[in-house]
Amino acid sequence: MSATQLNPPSSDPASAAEWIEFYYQQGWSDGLPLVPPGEDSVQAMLAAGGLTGDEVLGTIDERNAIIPAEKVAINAVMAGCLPEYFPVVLAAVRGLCHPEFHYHNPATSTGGSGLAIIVNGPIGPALGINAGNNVFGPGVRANATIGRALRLVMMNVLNTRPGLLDRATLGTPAKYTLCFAENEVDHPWVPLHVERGFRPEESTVTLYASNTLMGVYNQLASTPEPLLLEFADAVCNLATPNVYGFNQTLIVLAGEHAEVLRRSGWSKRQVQEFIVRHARRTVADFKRAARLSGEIRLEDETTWRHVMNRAEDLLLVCAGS
Amino acid sequence: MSRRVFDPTVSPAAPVTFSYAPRPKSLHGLRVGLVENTKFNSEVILRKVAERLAAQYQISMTHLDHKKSSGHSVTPEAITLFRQKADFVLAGVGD
Repeated sequence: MSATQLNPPSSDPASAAEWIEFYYQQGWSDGLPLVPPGEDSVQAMLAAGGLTGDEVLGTIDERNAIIPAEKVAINAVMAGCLPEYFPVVLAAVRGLCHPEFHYHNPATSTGGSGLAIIVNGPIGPALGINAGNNVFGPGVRANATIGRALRLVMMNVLNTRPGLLDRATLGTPAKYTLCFAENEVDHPWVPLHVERGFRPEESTVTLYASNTLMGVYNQLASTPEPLLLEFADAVCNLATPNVYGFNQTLIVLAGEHAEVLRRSGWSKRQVQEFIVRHARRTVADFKRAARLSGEIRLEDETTWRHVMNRAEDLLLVCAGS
Repeated sequence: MSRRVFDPTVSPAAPVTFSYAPRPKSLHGLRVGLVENTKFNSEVILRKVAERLAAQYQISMTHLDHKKSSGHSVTPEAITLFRQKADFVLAGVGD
């Protein structure tokens, strides 16, 4: 058996394992090992955010909860974040507190949401946040730990623990982590943050409550219509929570699909309007599946219910390969 | 060598204290407001209850508020309207 000569840190690995076990025993983990925080690592995290630790980053009124900066830094260290990731974590935490985000629903609902952190602007490449191949897969520290830090803050600071204030019936693996950057290179249109009024050189975080992830497979479409019909079909499946018609939908366009749309010359607005127009099912469909109540009437077969009402309720971003 | 334990949790804030509104001695002739929360059948159930209250106690349904979602709080504007128009309020979930 051959062994590679490595130079591990000088600290005692057995002691580190004991610390990890100790943090498990306190009930502070998401199920995976935590990085035991130390004075230096917590201070480095705070310094990267320009904070001292005493600040209150925000409040969640429905939970009667405040979010102290020091606690966010501790959770970020535990998640495995590098200090330079901390501004992204802070932006995501502030997003949780925004009244328009309305934390209570995605955090507590039986539907169970993973919170997608979408990073735009130069900070994405600067931090090495994956926007390309396997964008939702494992292997990239920034993606894995920034999303994990947000979930640990939810669990440890806001008490959003499974079975307690997180009442998801099934949950989702996305609750461990869900963070990615938009691929702004060769983009068919302007990236999400520019669409929403920011300058290209500004860095932003968009927080999106995602019930589930669904892959859309189409390797043959070379024009927009067939490709977008498939996306429309995917977002109006009978299992969608969007029967009510007031939800937003996030579509992440991977490389080939983005390229088909770029070559077509369709604007982002055209694409949004096309999908919103075709993402519909009849009332009869929903009644057959008991997603709507009542007897099926003849007119139900030709009465359409759209799962989104407005083009701007469809978020389009590019990522993946 | 000792090492500091960094607790990542926040102790629960002091609970907000509140008191219940005084209960009416009689339901007869009162005005009821309804809070519909967007859940399936929420409005159906609430209206049905209001119908029965009307039949049994001559209670009139005077205001219906539609919340933005089930998780949203009732807005201050809606609370003001309920204070003006209703003697008591029913809120329901239903799914």
